[in-house]
Amino acid sequence: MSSHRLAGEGAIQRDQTLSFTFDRRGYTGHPGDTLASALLASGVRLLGRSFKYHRPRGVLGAGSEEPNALVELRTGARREPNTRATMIELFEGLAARSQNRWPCLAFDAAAVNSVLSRLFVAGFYYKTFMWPAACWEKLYEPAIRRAAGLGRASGEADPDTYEKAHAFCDLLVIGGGPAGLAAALTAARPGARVILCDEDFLLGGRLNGDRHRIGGESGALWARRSEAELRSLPEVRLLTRTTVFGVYDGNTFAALERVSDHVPVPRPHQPRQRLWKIVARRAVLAAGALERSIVFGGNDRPGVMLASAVRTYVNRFRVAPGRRIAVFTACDDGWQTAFDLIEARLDVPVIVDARRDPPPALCAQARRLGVRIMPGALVFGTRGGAGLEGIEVRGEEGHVSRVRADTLAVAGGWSPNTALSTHLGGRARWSEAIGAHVPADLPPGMIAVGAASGELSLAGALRTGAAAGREAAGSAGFDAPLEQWRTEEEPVGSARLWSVPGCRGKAFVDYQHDVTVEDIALAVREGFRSAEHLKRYTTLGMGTDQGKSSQLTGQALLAALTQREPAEVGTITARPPYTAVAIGALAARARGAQFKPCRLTPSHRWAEERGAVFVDAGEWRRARWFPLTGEADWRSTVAREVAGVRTGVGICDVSTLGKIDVQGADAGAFLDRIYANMISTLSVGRARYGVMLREDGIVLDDGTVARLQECHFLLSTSTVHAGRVMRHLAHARQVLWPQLDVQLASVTEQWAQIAIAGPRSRELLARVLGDALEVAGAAFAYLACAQFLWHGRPARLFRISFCGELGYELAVPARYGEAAVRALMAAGGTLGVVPYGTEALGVMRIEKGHAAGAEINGTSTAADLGLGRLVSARKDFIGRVLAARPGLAAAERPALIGLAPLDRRARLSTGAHLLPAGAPATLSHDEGFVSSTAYSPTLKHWIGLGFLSRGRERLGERMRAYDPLRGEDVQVEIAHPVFYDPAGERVRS
Amino acid sequence: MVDSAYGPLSPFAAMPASAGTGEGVVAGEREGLGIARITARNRQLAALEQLVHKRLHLALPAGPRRMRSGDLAAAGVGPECWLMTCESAGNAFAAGLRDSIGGHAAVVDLSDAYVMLRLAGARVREALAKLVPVDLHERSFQVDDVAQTVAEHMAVTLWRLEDTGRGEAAFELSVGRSFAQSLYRAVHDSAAEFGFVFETR
Repeated sequence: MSSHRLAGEGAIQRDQTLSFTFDRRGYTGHPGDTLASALLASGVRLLGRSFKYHRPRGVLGAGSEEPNALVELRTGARREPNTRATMIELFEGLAARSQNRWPCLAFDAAAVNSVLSRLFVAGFYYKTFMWPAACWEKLYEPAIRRAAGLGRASGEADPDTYEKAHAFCDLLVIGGGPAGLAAALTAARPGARVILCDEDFLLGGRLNGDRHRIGGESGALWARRSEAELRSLPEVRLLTRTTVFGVYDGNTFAALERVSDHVPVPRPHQPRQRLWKIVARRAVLAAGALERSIVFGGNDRPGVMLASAVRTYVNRFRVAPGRRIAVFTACDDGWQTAFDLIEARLDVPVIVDARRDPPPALCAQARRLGVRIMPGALVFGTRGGAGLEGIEVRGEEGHVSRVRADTLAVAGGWSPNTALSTHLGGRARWSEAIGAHVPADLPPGMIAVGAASGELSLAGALRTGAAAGREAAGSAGFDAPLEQWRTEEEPVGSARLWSVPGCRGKAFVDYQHDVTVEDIALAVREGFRSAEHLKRYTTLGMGTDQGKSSQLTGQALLAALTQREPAEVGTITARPPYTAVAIGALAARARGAQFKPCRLTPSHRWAEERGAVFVDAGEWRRARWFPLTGEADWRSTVAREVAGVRTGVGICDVSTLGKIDVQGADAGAFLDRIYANMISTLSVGRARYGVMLREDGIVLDDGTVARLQECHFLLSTSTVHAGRVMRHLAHARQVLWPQLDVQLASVTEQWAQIAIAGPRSRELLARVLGDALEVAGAAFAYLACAQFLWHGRPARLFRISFCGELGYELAVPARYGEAAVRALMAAGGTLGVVPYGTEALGVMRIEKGHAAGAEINGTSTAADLGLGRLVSARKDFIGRVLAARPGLAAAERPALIGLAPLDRRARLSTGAHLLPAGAPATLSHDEGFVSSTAYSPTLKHWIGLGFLSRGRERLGERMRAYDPLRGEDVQVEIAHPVFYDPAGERVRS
Repeated sequence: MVDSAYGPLSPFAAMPASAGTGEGVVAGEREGLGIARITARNRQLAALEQLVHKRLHLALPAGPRRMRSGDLAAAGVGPECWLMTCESAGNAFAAGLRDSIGGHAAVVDLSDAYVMLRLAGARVREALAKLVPVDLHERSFQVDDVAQTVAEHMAVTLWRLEDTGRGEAAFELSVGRSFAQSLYRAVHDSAAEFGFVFETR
């Protein structure tokens, strides 16, 4: 392995050596290297294969716009495909592999695609795989899936963590090149809060890759000193390895910080990556410009590189990309690459400038350095295999010459990096002056500076950066002097050269997606004239690089082929993210057990001790049942719990139900308008069942209302609708009737509420409450409620029941919920008290025909649910008018009914359709459906609730419960929905 | 009758008490605090303010600010609505307030509804930046500023305390009791890289 490492300083630490592997072969590099620079230093030029034709590809650039040098980084669960070798910071033990090749990088079987390229023209997906349709599943899709995509995901769970963070500042500087540093320094010196983000690990941008001088020192040194000064300022946050990838409304920016991508394994408690949400008063877009290649035959051969990248490898990394480096340029900047190469004592055989008259000063300097110049000439072909060996040049007069070169530095001109300026819908504007699009119509608060704004010279970058920094500081109330830095004005002239006519070999516009100039011509022949359509049809500008190095060239070629100006064709709208963002970073902590917050009931720890099985119900985690050893399955557990309640006493934590405290002189009147039934007539110390409607007449929720005092009510809501009902009430209070004296507060979290149900519940309560409250029959009748002190703490008791037995709900402050449950269990030992979970609760409510979430489902009216008699005709309330709409009051509406299988051994399933007995299973015979089912341990057979058209008139009718999804077809009898104690004697006992 | 077995339960008993190295973020639970939400009755705001000032020697703040007077504090959490706290007063606080100002305000005991964490330390702002979308810079979020916001989809209330004796920032972060473990886990994870310690009395 020959070393391409040059002498001299650069920005690498030569005193340390790092070992790494590429395709299992060992190499070395230094801290400060990227994988690309270290591989180039070791003479490795073939890094991957292209997407479609599997052509050999090397490194094109030196930044995040890299289309070619994509590798799989790391191994095992940390393997990550499509990482850009130009962005991977070298670390000890790094392991990378080439991708998109089989069996190996040097010989790739799929390279035959290149020979078959006629088949793979633009839009080939749309053309080739059209028919026969039968071939799709078996042939086309598997073939496409095998060929498509780049690299392989690890297929294992990501072992690292990710996190999100918020940041706020007066000024966000996007890009840490000269313009960005100038803006940051100017604003930060007087004290403004500044955040500067740069995707590189080294601040300075082009100052590190070029040999500029600022104020008598090298540009790279100026960048180091500026960085040091910024770091010393308390209100400045420098985020290197951080890409601002999205702009959003409200001056909000998204940025991805690669916290641990440059180390083998994240340090303890450090995330792999951090997603920043940054809110900035002002933003400075100093994202620089991206150099374009030129389209000519064989321009994708490894060794053909962007001229600025060649310069960066030489100056920053002290790596010679080749031994003999020719330059092909259409702009002044390309010459600087030649001069830097000569300064580094590298052989530059020729500078080919497409322009007839390059600036005389540049020509003179080249002659002085002894470099051959070919003005007005064009490179039209390249020679070599998997690496460049020579170029073919057509001179001004048409004569062809061949030049031996192992590297070609191509300078097609610079395109301002406008991506972030268009994220909120702004359009970039064509600038005739620089022959590229520049930001226009920027997001609010954003200023573009330096090369990103089309100011391609260093002097322009420093000047516009400082001015923007001053403006931003001023808007935050800091008076900043306009900083000035001394630098020379370099020539920035450029010609418009997009592609070379009369090429030999394939000429690529988009390297990553293998889009050639012929593909664009074909798209135009087929009628595509818009830049957006061109992108979709040819895939130009898609993929991981999103065409950063190719987009403009493709659009310019489209313009030329359709006899239009580039300004007329315009450009595409870039959308977030600017570069690829891992899903893991967007999810951050929200994965696994932390996927969402989990609400625990006051008795959770006790339930865990009892070995409860839990179920996630919305945000809550509730005990589903409490199995005992020896129980065969959950159904026997639930049957035992139900029987325990029906014959003895059981307790259940029902704290999850919503509780809303309503106070005020007009509280009763307010609740009359909220509920469909009358509330204001309720006596103090009594509770009532209530149902509330939405404005459109559909049932919103049901629950109980207790009148604790004359002007103090307590509402209960279903668990799921707690938040929604609170919002509904708050809206009514604040917007509909602000004149009413009503105060609302959610007290769901304040009270632990324990249901105590069963014929022996009174006995249990009497034991537990002692003298605190008298619960004997007449003293505390059905639907009574009371506030009292228990153990010196506030407590409340309600005689309400969901399960149909004599029952109570005891409320204690949430901190004491577990203690209350333990006290009940202890006192109930001799009564055989059973704890029961949500499943038994569900079974018992179905036995009692109580509607729950499956019935109050956003389509049912009070009448549908059999609650029509509750709806008051003596008052107005929310939903009254619209509930009277013909459709909602129609006689054939579905009504809540009960059902039981004729064959008592048959099971019922939720979702089954109700069809008349003997009728065929077609939609026209569908008369209703089954909403809830359960095996009733009390009745010893399955029962269900459902909705049936005119259901209440059809009790006793036999129907089919038809469930094609589960292949079930059961004969059922329509019954009254209340299966258990229809007279309601038990709750009143 | 007070039964010793009938005692309060801290939701943090079984949670990991530290993470990482150092004490960048030190947390503690504010136990025994009396918390009540008071809402002015219709057109009673001025009378309520006068009464609170006279009886409790406290000026009710307008907007998301907190005012303190001895063991008492009131934080503005909505229009004509405050969260009042009283050291070590527990559930009795709301009962007392009801007697004292109940004619002009609805008083609701929320001593159990919230779990409150006190968070302090040299790195507390950095840890909180991972949790709440609020600018906590000392100029933007001053002592006694109040924010009602979200932390990982949980509704939280945050206010800033006086800096600690060591000149470190300090905050109190409240969440609904059922969310206590989820919030604790989020705080723990966010603070781990700075060194997290949960102090129990």
